[in-house]
Amino acid sequence: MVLNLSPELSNEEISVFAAVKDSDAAASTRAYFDVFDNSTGIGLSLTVSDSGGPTESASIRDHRPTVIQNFVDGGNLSDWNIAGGTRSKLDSHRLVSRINTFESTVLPPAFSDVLMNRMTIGSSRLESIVSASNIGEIVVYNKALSLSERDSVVQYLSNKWSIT
Amino acid sequence: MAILLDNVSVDTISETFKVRGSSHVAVIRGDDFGGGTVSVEVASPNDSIGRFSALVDGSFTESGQYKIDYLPSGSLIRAQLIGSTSPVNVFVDIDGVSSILNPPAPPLILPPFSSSLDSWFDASNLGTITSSGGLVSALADPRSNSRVMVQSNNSLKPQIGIETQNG
Repeated sequence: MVLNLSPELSNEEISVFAAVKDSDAAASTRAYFDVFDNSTGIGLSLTVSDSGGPTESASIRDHRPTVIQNFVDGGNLSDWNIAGGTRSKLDSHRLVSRINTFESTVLPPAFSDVLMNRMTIGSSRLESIVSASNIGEIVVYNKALSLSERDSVVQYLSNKWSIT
Repeated sequence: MAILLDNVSVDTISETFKVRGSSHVAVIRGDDFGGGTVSVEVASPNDSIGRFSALVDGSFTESGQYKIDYLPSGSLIRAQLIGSTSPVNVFVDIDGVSSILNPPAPPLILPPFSSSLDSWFDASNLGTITSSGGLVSALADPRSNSRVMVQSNNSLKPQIGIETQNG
């Protein structure tokens, strides 16, 4: 699934959440959310994939400088999951990645202001790697949501898509 | 049998329905009532949907009905459900003949913190999907804010219908 947003975003603060489901159990199955500055490629990239077993893992990456953060939530590949990512300029460009109720944060080693004006869903930034997953709903906020706000969004999507 | 209000709850107003052909007898009635009242309005053929000035203003409750003995061609009908305790259906019969009305679109239930919502795409809302041959070329934000996810490359277009909501 590859879709590009039009018109482009005009955000330096961003939160992206999606209800996703792997279409099969292949190791290559992934869901992608890339939000970035189209001229420099700087932004955030969230990847949700299996981890070689009946689990879901997420990694979030700052395109430049490269920071990769991985974690596993122990979910089930055959289920719907809620994946999300935020980037906050106002909080030292802190990156937050999330699957369902599991969350992790990281600070890039070098900070850079960035206008994240383009988003791809279902593929890597350059559409070189395409997702085999299904995406039911995507919500994009023009700010980095707080923890309680992120919890509320995940609860909304979980209720709507019957994700337990 | 035409559905004027389809499985709706309190304070739902129907889409305005324009009667076609010659003069008619209309009966608006309901079922599955939970103590609600249906307010019925009829406007002149000279009115428009955007400029609705009711000539007839009536109502009925429970298993009752509202009958209009003379309904000129072009008349506008709309109804509002008030005070129901459970979802109900409201029907309109024109000259005892079935006709089809478009039920009102369900209200959008926005994600939380909608004031900060930049973009929203919901694949369960089929009206927001543009597809051909099962391939999706666009997925629009239902709020009509011109936001749309697009893909022009056929080899990269998502497939539609391979997964269902809550599936």
